[in-house]
Amino acid sequence: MTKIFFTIIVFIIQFGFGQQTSMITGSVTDEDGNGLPFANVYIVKSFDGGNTDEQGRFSFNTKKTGSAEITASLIGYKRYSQSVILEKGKTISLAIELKNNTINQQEVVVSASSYGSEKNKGIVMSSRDVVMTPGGAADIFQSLKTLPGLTQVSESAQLYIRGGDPIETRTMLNQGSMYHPYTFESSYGGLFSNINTNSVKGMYFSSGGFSTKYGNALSGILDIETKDEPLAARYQLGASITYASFNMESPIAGDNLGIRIDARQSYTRPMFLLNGGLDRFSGTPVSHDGNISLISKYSQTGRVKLFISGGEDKQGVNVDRPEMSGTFNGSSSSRLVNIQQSDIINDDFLLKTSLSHNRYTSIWKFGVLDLTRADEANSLRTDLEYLWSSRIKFLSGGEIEYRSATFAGIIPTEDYDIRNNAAQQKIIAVFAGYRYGAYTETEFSRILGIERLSLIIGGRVDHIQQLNSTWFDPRGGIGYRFDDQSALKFAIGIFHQHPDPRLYNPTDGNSDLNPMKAVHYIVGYDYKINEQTDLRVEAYSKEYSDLPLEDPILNYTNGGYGYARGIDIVAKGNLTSDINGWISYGYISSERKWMDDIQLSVSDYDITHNLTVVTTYSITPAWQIGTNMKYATGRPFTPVTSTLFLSQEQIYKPLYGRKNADRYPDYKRVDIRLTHLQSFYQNNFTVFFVEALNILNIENMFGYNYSADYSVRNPIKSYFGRRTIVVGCQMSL
Amino acid sequence: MKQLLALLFAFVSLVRAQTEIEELVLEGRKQIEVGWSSFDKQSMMDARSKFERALNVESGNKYAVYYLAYAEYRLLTQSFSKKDDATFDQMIDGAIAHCEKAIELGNGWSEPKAILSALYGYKIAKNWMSAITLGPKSNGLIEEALEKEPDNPRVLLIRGISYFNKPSMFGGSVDKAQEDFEESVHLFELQKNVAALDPAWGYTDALAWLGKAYEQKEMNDRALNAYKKALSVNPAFGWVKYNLLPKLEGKLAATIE
Repeated sequence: MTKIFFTIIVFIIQFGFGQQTSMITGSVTDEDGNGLPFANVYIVKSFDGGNTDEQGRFSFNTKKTGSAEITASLIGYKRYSQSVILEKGKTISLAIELKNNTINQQEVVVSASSYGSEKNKGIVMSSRDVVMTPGGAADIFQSLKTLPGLTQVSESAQLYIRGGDPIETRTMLNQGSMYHPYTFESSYGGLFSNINTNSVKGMYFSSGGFSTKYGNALSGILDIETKDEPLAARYQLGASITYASFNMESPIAGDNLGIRIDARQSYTRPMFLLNGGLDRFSGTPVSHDGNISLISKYSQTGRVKLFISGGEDKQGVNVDRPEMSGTFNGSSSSRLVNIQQSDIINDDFLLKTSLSHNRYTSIWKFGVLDLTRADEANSLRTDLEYLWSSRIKFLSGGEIEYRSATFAGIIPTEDYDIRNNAAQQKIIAVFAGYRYGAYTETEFSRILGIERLSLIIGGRVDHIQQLNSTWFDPRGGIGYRFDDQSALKFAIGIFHQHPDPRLYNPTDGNSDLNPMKAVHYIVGYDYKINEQTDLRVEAYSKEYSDLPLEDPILNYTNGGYGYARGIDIVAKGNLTSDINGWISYGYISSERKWMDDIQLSVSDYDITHNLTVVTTYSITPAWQIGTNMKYATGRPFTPVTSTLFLSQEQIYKPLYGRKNADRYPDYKRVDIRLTHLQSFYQNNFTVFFVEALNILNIENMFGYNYSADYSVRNPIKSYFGRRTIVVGCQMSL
Repeated sequence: MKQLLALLFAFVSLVRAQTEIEELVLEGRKQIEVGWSSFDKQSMMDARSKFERALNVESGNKYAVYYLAYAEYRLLTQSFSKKDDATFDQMIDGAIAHCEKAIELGNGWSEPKAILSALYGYKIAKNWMSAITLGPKSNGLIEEALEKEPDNPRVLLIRGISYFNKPSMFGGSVDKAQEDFEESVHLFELQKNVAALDPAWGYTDALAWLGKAYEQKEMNDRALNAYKKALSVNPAFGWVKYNLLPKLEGKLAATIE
């Protein structure tokens, strides 16, 4: 009897309830109203649900009644949730719109130019491109120079963007400023960056029209992020005729805490011994640098990174000048400590905060010149990104930066006489000040009811306390997408930056100088040739004003001005499945009246034509060959037209003609890189490479060496003015 | 009496939920096999959704997580062979995360370890230079899986596929692949009484890959037998039915002519 009773009860429980169902039906679309197939729509904490069909429609039944939460999910889109009330026999119809996963912390890519704060759209250059670019020496800055808008002014790693001086480009690492991201700095600029490519997760590069997020920069931005926590232990050794390196990464406690260490020692003597050119140095360039990073992933989306790096370099270069021959001795050291916290809150807020300390010191000695420079930057910065709705994204943030720049030592009074007994002056110039910056920016899509129209508008304010200087920079952009393949964009913005700190020195500068100003106008057209190949054409105009200009009474005023106008074209993608690369071309016309150029004249950075073709061909999975071909119009220079013999000093004083009236020969160079991947034992992978820089042995030059009376001039070969072979390997242990 | 009824109700509900999860997982598993046989993305995506819905009720169910990763592995295999980069890029990181979760829930379970090893293999195939970082990871996972379960036919199948596809200079070898496929087929044929929810896929894949290895070594009769055997087990296996077998038969016919 009891058995029968329980059986009946179980039967009632199992089958007696909710035989009548309600139906949930509807559609799932993207932000443009297109139906999304394969979306999963279901009731939370229930098995009831269904998938969308090709048109994005779905339908399923449920026995559930009362309040319920419906969820829709699809890879690449944000999860959607909605509360509903279910009633027996009723049908609920839903129109679900899924938003793209726009806030993420995935690997960031490099964009050749930008509008607003977009980081993941348009033509991109991956970190693999950086490592594999022939002639780039796996150096971020050298590889970036293959992008359009970067002019080939010299072979240094310094970034000359759209006719701008290198100081007009701001480099940031984990939100902190780096004012000297180079090694082997001299008056010609640094040869390589001091940022180890191995430690870089991603970067954002813009050659103009950039977001209000970035202040105190007139021309360009390079925003670098270091790597996240490692998932497994890994050790690598690298060696070539120019460097030896060690990299390790390992989780420390589970998957949530990890460490990364990169160390590198460079030595160029074997390279010069093999390829010639040793006679140019009394001390071949050497450097060492290293960094250590501790990363804690404290939640699914939250992360704290501590990044510490340091490096030193020195070089002794033999220099022949009209008045003397001698050795330029240069050395520098840098250190960086950065701690950054980032988190995504409630799926919609991305919050990043960093505290950073960066210090750089250099010593230059040549003849009478004996200059020590120290540059320190400490900053606190917060950035917030908020996805207000599928059509509105909001960015805001602020920064406080303390910068101290010191120049101390002896410099020659006249630039034509650097001999040990030349007329000289002692300088002690210190500039120290706080800059406070704040910005806000909003991105709207589908404005005025027009599906394909988008708008970005924002502004930033900066204030330098010690100079009592405040400026406001409004910026904006508008874009129209014709179809899935092509889009037209227009951007306009005002950009300010304080001049080189040494110009604020009261004795030979002017402590009342105002910030420099540039107005950017950019029109761009993007065209997607196919899934793998993109084309971008941009025309720009950059109008400079308030540039520092030498003045006989005040030393400097803000009377300088100038412009840079041009067109940049880049096509990047796959020619076949085995051949890929990019072609970039830039045309520029630039004139300036600034510093000691008292007439409006061709700018030092006016490189009319710049053409770069980078290709990589995968011969087999293990063999790859890459080429990097460059052509650039010769750099402008001011010719010596006559001399004046100064009998008291026993020296010829050069008298110059019109500013930048002449040009050096055009710059041409072809680099080739052959890479081979090999495994010697289980779990070992080794990459061998042979790189031939300037394989055609074209004698490029970066200046003239004059005889004592300036009657004879001989070209000075550039760093890679002869064919240079470099071999090396990188292996995982 | 009321308390007894309440307890009974709770017990029956729990059993019912477990049964429904099992049913959903089994249904999804069947759908993957059907989808994989016919290269039908919709069917595999439907299966994937079922596992997601099962996890929506019990987030720590190791089978639901494993089969979610398995469905994604099949979808990634399809997108890889069709050069559908968009689907591949969207799915790969999630699939890796699901494998890692299944390994964790299964206390070092070999089955998801083998799939994870294959996923890293796909990433390497997309960019061979990434082998320097991902190669040791992929190799390490498959060796760990084999150490724990040396007689698991799917782990041997995945290692065999890796041997088959890798260039010889990275340790690839058709001979080693053939050995693994033969051993895998042998172990599949010995298998009896597999628990309902335990992975059971791979037998026809092992036969197809064994046929490919034989073909590579010009052992065409053996290859033919392997393909025919695969079709006798699963007559709807599209890869063999429409691709491997007709190609081999065509090649043999041309040789005879």
